[in-house]
Amino acid sequence: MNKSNRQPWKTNVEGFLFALPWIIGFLIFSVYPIFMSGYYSFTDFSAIKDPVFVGLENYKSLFKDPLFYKSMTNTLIYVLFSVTVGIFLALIIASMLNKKWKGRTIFRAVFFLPSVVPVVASTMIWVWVFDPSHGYLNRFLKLFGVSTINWLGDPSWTMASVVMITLWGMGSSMVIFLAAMQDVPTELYEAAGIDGAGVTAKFFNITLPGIAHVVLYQVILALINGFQYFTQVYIIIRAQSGNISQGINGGPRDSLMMYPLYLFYNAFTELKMGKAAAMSWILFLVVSFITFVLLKVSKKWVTNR
Amino acid sequence: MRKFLSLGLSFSMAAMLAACGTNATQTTSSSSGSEGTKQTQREVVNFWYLWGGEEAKLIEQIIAEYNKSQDKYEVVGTSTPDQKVIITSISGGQGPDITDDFGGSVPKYANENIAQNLDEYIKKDSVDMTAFVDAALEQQKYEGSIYSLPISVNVFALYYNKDLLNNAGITKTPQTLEELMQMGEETTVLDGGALKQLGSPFVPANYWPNIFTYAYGSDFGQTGKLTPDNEGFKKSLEFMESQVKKFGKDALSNFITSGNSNLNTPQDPFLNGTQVFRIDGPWLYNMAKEANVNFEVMPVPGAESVGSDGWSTVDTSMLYIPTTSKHKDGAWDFMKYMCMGDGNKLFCKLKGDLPSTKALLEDQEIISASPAQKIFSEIVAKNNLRVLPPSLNTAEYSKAIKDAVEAVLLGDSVEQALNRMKDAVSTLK
Repeated sequence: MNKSNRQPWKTNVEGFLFALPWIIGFLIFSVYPIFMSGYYSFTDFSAIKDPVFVGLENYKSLFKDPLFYKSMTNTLIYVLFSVTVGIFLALIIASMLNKKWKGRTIFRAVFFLPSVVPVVASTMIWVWVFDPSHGYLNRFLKLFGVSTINWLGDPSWTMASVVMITLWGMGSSMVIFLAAMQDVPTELYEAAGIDGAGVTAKFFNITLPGIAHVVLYQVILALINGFQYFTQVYIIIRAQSGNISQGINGGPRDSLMMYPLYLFYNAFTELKMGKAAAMSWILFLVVSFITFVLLKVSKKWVTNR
Repeated sequence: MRKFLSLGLSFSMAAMLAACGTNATQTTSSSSGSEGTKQTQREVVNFWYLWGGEEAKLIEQIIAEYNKSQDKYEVVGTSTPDQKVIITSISGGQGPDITDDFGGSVPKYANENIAQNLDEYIKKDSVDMTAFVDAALEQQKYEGSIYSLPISVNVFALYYNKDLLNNAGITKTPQTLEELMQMGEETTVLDGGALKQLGSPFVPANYWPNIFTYAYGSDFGQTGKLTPDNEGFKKSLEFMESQVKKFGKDALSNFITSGNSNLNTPQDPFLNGTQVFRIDGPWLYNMAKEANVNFEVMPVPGAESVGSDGWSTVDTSMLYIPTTSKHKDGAWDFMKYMCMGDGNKLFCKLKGDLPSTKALLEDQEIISASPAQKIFSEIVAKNNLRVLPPSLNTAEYSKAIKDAVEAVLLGDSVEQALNRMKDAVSTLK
């Protein structure tokens, strides 16, 4: 049979049938849970007994809960520093590694390597590094006369410590920036060079506008990852309590109580699935709002979308 | 060709669906079959337990002993070392007939209708519940009813490093809590702004505050009537405050943070010889021996005003019957065997756990199994054991206690810490 003679509806049905396994999976494992979590957020639900509709009770109780605000504030501070400093550093390093100099390939690998280390292993190593008595960081700082810092035990240092862990793993952003920078036409740099532009002028007037769309993508991605920051703090807190505590623990003065961690405690320690679902929807709305604002604002500086 | 493909796809999907539909219980049953069991038609009781590896082999040994004695029930054991798997299965109606967990979970499981109320069974068989250690039994209750039976208990003792005490010129052991605190202070060594040696049992951070409170003769109240600012806890915090003032909050908190994150490793302060007194469980005994620490273990002494010793918090391992169990009578029979009968003796003997029944605490075969077993059994027998009031808010209450201790360590006054704690606890039941 000639291909052009085939009935379009038949082609469509066949195409649909081929896509059906994925569609079924998507409906069962993505769409259904999303809708159900919305419903559960209005119920008293422990995942064991049937949910009981309670209206806005979960949301009301959250807005009266000091730990909810503490966890949200901690997460916003973390996101602010990890995203801004992380993106800035990744850009600077990518820009340096984009230049032609001997040994840059080795440095590209060195900066990217932390990204391939499993997060649990790397966090455990960081717990050792930050140990106030035996840790390498304090030993190193002591050489310069810096007194002992309790990185993970003093609430004024905990946030800086977790941001440091995140920055150590910014190699993947750096590689993406590097790839984007290599797509910027070299003629532009040559022309700017003839016009007498220096390194800084070239970076701000050619490189940055040229990769603005990638920067925007990376900022949004880092933002979403930041709001989901869980594994590292969970491991740090467990290690700090000698792996004894099974209960609710947000680190010293709850300074490491990140939003997803508090959500996890509500869901799996307290079995308050309704409250946890409400938290996840609030998080979704916050992330959506910030992303929306970013996309709106970005229209002014991202011109090559 | 397309027809063949469609046919193949249909077959594979059908096979997948069939595989998904296989009943987990059937699989377990088919893999069962213990040697030496009586060959009559018996009711199968499914027992899922959290123990794994070598411990699971011991549990299977105990199950085999039970099955040998039975012509009515046959227990089939399955190692399931993940609490969440068991709970999810129970909530889906596919769970075991009997399973194990920790005593702290009882209120949650009772409230969520996961665990079967055992009052009727206890009444029917006239079970003497005074056979159990009081505090261990207390952990199995929720709103006055019993939902589980303890199979073993965990208690804490005072370890001390003999060499470090000798170095400080101290030749006797502390007979009261006040003496312990004084010796702790005297043996703490500050050198160049850093703590080189910790005298007091502040590492691990989780155990000492509650145990000190109990040793002062206080407790944290009853369900529905919590007492976060009890006298004993206040005095315990005041002791920590005095140490913070004397040695500096940075020096003390640096040592404690490091100690907690290195627990049971070669950098553990008790194992590397930089901690004099330590409140910990039986598991530290062999580790300290292997680390060649010159140490002894003794019961935690009470305050002068209290007199007695052996004060400890207690945690239990327990068995419960899920409400979805299809063989509750068989599960109850096996539960009695495991928690009170010959099974419990075998369990404690093989696993080296501390028994939860008073009679076994005097059984020479159990207490002479190891030096640690003897000391810790004696502590259980002293019956000066306490638990946090069983409630749905135990996790929040524990957090409030932990936060208060941490606040004092970070430089807050006892009054500030207790006021914040009272606020946090005010909404709990």
